Amino acid sequence: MKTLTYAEAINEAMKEEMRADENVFFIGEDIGVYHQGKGPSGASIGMLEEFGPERVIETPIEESAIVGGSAGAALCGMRPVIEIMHSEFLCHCFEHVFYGGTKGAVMTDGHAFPMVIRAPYGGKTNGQLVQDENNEGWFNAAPGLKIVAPSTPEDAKGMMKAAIRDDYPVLFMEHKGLYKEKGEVPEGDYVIPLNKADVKLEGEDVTVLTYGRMVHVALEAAENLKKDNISVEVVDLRSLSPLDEDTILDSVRKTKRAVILHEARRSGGIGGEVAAVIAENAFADLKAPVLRVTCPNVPANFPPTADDVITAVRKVLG
Amino acid sequence: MDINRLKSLFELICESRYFQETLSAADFGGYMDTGEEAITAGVLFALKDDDYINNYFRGDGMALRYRGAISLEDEMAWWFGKQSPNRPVTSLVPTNYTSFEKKIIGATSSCLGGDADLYMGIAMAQKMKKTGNVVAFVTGDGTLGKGNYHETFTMASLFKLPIIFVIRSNGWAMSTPVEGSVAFRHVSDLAHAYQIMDDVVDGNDALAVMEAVEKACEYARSGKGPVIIEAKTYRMSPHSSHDEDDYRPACIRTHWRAKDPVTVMGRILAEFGVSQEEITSIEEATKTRVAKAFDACSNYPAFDVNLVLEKEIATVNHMWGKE
Repeated sequence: MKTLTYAEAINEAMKEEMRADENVFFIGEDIGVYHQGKGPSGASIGMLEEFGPERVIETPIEESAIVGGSAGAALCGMRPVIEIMHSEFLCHCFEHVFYGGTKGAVMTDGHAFPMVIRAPYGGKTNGQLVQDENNEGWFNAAPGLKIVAPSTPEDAKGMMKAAIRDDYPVLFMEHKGLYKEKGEVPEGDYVIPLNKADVKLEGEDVTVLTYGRMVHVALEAAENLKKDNISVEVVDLRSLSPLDEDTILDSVRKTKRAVILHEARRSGGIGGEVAAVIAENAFADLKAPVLRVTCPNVPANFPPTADDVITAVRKVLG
Repeated sequence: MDINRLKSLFELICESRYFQETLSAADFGGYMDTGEEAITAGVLFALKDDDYINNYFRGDGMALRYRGAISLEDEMAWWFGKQSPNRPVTSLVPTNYTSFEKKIIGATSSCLGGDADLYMGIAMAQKMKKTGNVVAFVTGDGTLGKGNYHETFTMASLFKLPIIFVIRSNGWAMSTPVEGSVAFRHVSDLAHAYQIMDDVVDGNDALAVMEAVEKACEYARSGKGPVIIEAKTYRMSPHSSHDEDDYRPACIRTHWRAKDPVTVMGRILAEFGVSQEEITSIEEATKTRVAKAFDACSNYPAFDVNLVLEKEIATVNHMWGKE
């Protein structure tokens, strides 16, 4: 095992996959010279140096052409890894992200359409109106599009490698607040399957279902609740679309209480989908209604805190 | 000049004309391109088999038939909602269809030009893989206000991508004239803004279109970059079967009738020494072929749209890794 930051883990994953397969290329804004140690994600360090400008393609500020162009290249056997600078910029290539893979794959009888769209998302509570968006929920309705959100460097590296090897589009949500967080990462080549959730903490009394930076907020709340002998199980969804329904339902049937936590706004968030899955499949097992702890429905980002989680847990425990 | 090739070009235009007349006569709803047939025909004849072309939304499945992706009969059945044995199980109409094998790529955007960048991306892959193939993207003049073209032209020019944009310049979006749709005066001005090589051609002269595209292919294939060709034409049919087409002056139609692509190509054949008798017999044989295809439709059962649902579910589950 070695220690890497989340950004370093993603960087390593991209480099390893680019070394292994010459069809993989990296494309986006400011990923060339500017990103040598600076820039939004910092996950592109050393890439231009190692792979050169034909495989590390710095583009104009044109999200639609970046994603649409990459989709066309993917159709022809290339394997683009796209860095979108901020997840809000997905607005400018929405149609391509939402439909590109699905329509293309259906039209071509399931022809491979490999495309990883990396989207730095999320933020802090400072009331700013731009560049802290959590918009993974918007794409939840896109059939066939995988949406994933790793919470640790180990998950980030393994899932990035899986995403690059996947033959169909993956929207890869990277939480901005996690880039500098360190974690243990296995040595060597390893891959984490994309449609699997992960129980980050086992518990008995209540299941907190969450993803991204909120996993750490849930773990903080769980630690706090130990003092009162409340045992919290934290399920890291990791895969937002499709959901790992088996892991979700196994946990909820065990603890009989569910709290869904996400940084994104309440409405249209992944939480509604998870709550419906639980209601449809585990209603008889529930001892309390399913609660959601989210950012309120306002434009700026107000991420939930550990205290918000604790309040919700206490509420479901009655 | 290969006379047989010119005769084939004439035949393709005639076939498209009669095919669409059959659809219109049967009151079929759709986007016909009567009067513009020479453009896609000229492009197809100029391209190599491995070059890519978009499946243009307007007209019939000319590209699909020309490249052998579908037969005349299967296509006719498709339009009339029939299940003939080889009718693909996707898309309502042939003009949405993608035959990846034949390098004919259907639209993934419902707004014309929304996926211009996808075709630019196909060109990007050709350059990366050093295939020597080019991409022809046929589109309309009325949508050139769309931001996506700006992005696509910028990237195609900066990266010197082998893509040829063929603008069907018919003077109209749907009911909005091009003067109300774009702020540049000429398509060439637009090309110059991006330092893209440009050309303009009589879009009703299939031979001229073919020669212009051949020249553009050579340019693009040599790595010099993209080309924008403006093909001047006129949309004789309404925008769609729901369009009453009461917004265009009749005198303009009269002017363009004299330049009908079928007539123009016939005249070219005559100039190359083909007898009027032979020209007429090509027309008649094509009419017969199309009529037979139409008659054969009644032999086939109605298409079961549940087949599309099944296929989509299977594809989506495969994409999600749920199997």
